[in-house]
Amino acid sequence: MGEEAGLPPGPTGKVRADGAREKFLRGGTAIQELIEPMITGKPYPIKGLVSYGVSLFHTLPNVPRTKDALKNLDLHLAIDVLPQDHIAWADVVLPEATYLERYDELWTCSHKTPYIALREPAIEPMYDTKPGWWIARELGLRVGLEDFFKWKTAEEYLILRLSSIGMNLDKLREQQGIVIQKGKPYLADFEKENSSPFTTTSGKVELYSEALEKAKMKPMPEYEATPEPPAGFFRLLYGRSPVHTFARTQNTPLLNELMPENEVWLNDEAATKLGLKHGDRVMLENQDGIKSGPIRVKATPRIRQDCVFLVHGFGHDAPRMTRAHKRGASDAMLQTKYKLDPISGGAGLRVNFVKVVREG
Amino acid sequence: MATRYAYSIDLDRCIGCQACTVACKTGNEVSLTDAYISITDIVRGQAPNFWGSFAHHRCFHCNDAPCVTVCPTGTLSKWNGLTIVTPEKCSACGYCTDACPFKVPHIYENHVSKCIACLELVKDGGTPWCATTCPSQAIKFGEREQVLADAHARIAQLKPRYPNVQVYGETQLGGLGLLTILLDKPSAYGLPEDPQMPLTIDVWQRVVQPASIGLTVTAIAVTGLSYIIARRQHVREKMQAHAAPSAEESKDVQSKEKQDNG
Repeated sequence: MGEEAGLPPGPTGKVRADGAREKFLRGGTAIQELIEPMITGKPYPIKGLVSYGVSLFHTLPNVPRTKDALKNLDLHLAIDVLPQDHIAWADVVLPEATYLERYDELWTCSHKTPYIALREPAIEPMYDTKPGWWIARELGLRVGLEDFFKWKTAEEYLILRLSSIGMNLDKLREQQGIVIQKGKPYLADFEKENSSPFTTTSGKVELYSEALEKAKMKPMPEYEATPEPPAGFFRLLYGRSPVHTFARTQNTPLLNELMPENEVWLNDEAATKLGLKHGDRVMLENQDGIKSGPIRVKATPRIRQDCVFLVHGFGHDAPRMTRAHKRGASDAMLQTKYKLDPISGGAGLRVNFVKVVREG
Repeated sequence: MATRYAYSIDLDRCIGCQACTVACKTGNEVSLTDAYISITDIVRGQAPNFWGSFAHHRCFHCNDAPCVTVCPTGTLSKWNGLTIVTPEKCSACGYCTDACPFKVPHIYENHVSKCIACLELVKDGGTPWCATTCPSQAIKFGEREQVLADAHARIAQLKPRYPNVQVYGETQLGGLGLLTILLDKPSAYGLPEDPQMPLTIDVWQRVVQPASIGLTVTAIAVTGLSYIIARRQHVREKMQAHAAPSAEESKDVQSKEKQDNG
């Protein structure tokens, strides 16, 4: 696809397991497309997986497929700070120290206000946990990647990085761990230098993309209707609550106290038609018979009659996450279908339908 | 003149993230199951035409604070416009919970629980946790005059979008120490237009309690008086008996004396 359009191949020039340039035009790794090759072995077999800082069963659609793929692997290594759902599916678990117990890579940010920020441990790692950098280095040295680890400690590594801008750790600590630089927030800042922040051929924001046209893609986005929910089903929508981050904070005591479980938003008139009222406990069942819940109904005028909405990240099935275990419903569990974006490889998840069934 | 501090909450800027609640709880070491701030969302209408906003339920720091008026132990008091708490004085009588027109103070583990105005921070010239933390700068803290002026400036900006936009707390209960920029009438947020101390508490405090003290004093006075009268009566009767005993009475006295002796 890409090569016809004169677009350069990927960095390796080889076939990518996620199907970039075959199933979609180009982009970063389409992580959900890596699951199928773990099952089929095509375009090449994937035999090992390292899950690091990812909520494997919440970030990827089609959880049953992910479980099948994990069964097929020779090795699944999980590195995490939380005993998440997918940890139970790992052959080896390496518990990581939390962010308060470890050095991390420098946090660098460009854009409006560019800055470099340092993360330092406040306390020594507790229990038998190790920082991520330590785990990566020790594994690297054992599999012949010495060239990538020409340093012994995180401090040594950070000093090396900071030296490139004439900075060192002590200076950075004196500045409260942050270097802030003047940014270029306005277009005028670039025009002064006769440059543009946009990498398009026109040097402008392009609503009509000639590059996409050459690649035989739609140069302008066009609305395509998605199938309507069958009778008795609602379209499953999902989103965020400002209280929780991804699927990682539901077990955090303070945040769990504020929002211990999600609710299924159901239009109040639609709820009445189903004989349900605010606070009733229900199960959600999708078009493929996959269930999640029980979950409480939030009967509200804030949603259309043909859709239901869930806050993402709930419905953990991880007994060691004692507060979050089996609280609420999981959107990812109910998303057994998705639609691949032909340009970026992103997964369109709002193509699933659920019915609302009274518990029991 | 002492400084008069105030908070303001701009409900046009509030995104309902509850970062203020969390910062308040961690900063003030509030128990996990207790809180000084709670935020609820309110909604009217039917999709797609609905209106929503966030309602903050927390201490309004009334100038004429009913909770302070009724507190019998001095646990709740006023300091530079803020209603502050000295928890070790609290007897958990619960008067404040009934007196507050906003139902803010509550009893948690045998002590009153409500916003403590981050007193230690404020005394050091600092800003309360909620205002420091708010990512959308909806919560501000400072000298009331300035906070009020800023609130009025925001009202002027917001008027074209929200015809009913108003500052809540400018005059209520002597002027609140928490000014809220409401996007609609107070009733839309479940707030009283003109909050008052509940009449029963007022009557209890201003009539029944003084009256009961009066009654107690009267009762003691009456008891004392009746004692004096009774004593005098008794003494007088005794003296009369000795002065002019009848034959019957003297015989009785004599026989009684005999019995006593023998």
